[in-house]
Amino acid sequence: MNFKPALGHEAIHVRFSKALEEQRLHHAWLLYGMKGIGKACEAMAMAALYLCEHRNGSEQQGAHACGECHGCCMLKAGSHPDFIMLERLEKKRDITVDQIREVLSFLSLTGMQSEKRVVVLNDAEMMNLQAANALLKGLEEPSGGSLLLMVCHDLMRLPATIRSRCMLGHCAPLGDTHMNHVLAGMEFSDVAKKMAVEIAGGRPGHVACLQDHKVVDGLLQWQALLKDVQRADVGDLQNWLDTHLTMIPHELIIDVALQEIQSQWDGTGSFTSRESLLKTMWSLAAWPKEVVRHSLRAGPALMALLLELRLVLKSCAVA
Amino acid sequence: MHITVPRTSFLQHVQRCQNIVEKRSPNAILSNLLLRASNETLEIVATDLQIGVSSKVHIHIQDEGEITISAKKLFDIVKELDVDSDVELKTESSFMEIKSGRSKFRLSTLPAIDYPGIPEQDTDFSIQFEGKDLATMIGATSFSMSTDETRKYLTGTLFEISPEQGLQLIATDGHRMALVGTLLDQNVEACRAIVPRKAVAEIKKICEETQGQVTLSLGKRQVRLDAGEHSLTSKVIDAKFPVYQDVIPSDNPEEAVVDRIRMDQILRRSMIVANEFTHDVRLQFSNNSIQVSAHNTEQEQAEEFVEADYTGKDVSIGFNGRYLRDVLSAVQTERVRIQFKDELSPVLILEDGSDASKYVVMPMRI
Repeated sequence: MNFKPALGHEAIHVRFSKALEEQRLHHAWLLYGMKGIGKACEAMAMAALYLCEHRNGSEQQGAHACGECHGCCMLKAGSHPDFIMLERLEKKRDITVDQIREVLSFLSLTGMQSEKRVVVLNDAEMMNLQAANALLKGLEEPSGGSLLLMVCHDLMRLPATIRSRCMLGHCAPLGDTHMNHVLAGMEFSDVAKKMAVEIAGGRPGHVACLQDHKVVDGLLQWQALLKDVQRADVGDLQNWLDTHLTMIPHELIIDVALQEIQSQWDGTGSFTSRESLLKTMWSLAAWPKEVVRHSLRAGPALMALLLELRLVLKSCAVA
Repeated sequence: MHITVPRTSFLQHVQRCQNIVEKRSPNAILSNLLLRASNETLEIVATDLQIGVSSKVHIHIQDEGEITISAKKLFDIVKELDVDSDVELKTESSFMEIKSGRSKFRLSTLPAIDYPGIPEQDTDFSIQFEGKDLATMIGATSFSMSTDETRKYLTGTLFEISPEQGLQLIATDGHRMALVGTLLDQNVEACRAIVPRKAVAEIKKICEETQGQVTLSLGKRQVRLDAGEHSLTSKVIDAKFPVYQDVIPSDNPEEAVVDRIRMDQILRRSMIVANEFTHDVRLQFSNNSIQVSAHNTEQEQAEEFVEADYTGKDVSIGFNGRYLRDVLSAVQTERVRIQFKDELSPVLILEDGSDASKYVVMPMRI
């Protein structure tokens, strides 16, 4: 882990390091933007910069953590006494009020190494209402030296009361130059690289799992199954879902599926059938989030959508 | 690092430190101990990210150095080793070799730079104090600390040093408060710190084990205790403690003096039939006696009289019996003074013949 500013988000980093240098740092920062573009990496870089004992770097590019001092070493090893990272626990639907209380209790103690304390809150939009309200109290009365860095994919799902108390930093998907640079650093097979370029859309984190050949093979099979989804054997689809849903990120499955549907559909069909196709695609796109939000069983939910898709595509073809 | 230590003293120090370490930490290095050998001293350090404890042993060092090693494994191994032979510790790349007599172990290690360790001393003022006395003072107040995490500032004990009052320990949970003070025979500056619950318990443990004086240092962001070979540093609660002086009633007109142990026994008996959640008992003060009564939702009742030195008007006050029993077990004297005004005003409980400890208990409406 290095604590250099994340590629593509240098502007925010410079803003942060300037504020830090001029000792007018806001106590809560909220980084928002699409998933997989390096917001959490940037939050870590900011946390490291704040806690580092020997910062270095220039004024234009902003300062960055040295990566060698005791503070940086502890942060790398995950043993820094004045830092905690909070995210949604596995198999939980949201970030709970108990987790937020833990954060508040951490912030209400003084720092061990210095007065500085940092909390990185990942997936902040996953907080439920009670958790958000509990956090609000900490945001309104920050203790001296505390810094809260929130990372969020869907800004509008956070209560306005929280948004308005944070310094907002928008993170955009990466441009082609940055994207190529990041992808060059990953170990892709040729097929995987082609697939990564097609579906990445400026989000390197989104395609990082394509370095695993099992994921790539799974997605190729999925692509093949969807080539003729109207006639595909339901048993085969079910088998694929059973074996791959736990292994491949749901967003990738949907990206490949939508791409495939778009490439197949020639624009024919009545207005109503086109309307229902669009609606089904919309439901497919929302499936990964719905699974988490409503604790659905991922397999049956996706299977239902696929069967719906078959019907709609058939009606398009008939019309 | 290459050192040789006598097994018995090494075991004691490792045991002292390994109590602090979190047994099931998700991060391997946090279940480790830091061993640092330099200047003919071996320092053993443990931390749970809130409290850090260090122990020093004077030994012969062949080679200086520092390394971290699993606390549980080291303790379990040293515990089982031959009592009389010395233990030899030697690091070899990323492993540590432990030799004693014919036994030899090889444990994996992690680098010392990744370990949080103990921060440098950053406190405002220190006092020297008899360890056993400090442990008694903590024991007489710590039961009043709150467990309500939403009011974090009440989940610790306030350590306050002032030129007028000396050292005072105050703990409260909003329903009751305990204050114990003692005058100091040294010049002091005013300072205060709210010490978290876990650190209070550890300070008490160390003080109990120490013969003689300890040094207690308070600062804005840390509290530190130096007791012989051991020292403890803890984060403090970064909040304002309520103004406790206002809570202590100063003009309670009535006073009853009662035998402490007898009163405690009666309360214990009565509480058997009290409501098991609220533990409510009623104390009826009348001429030279107190009637203790309790009842529960199933119409079961208990009643008992206890003699008391009391000549005031008849007053009946409801209490949480637990709170009263906690106070009675914290008090040292044979008899206690209970001062009150009416059935809803705060009640002050004092030791007989001394005003150094003050316990305030809020009555209950029954």
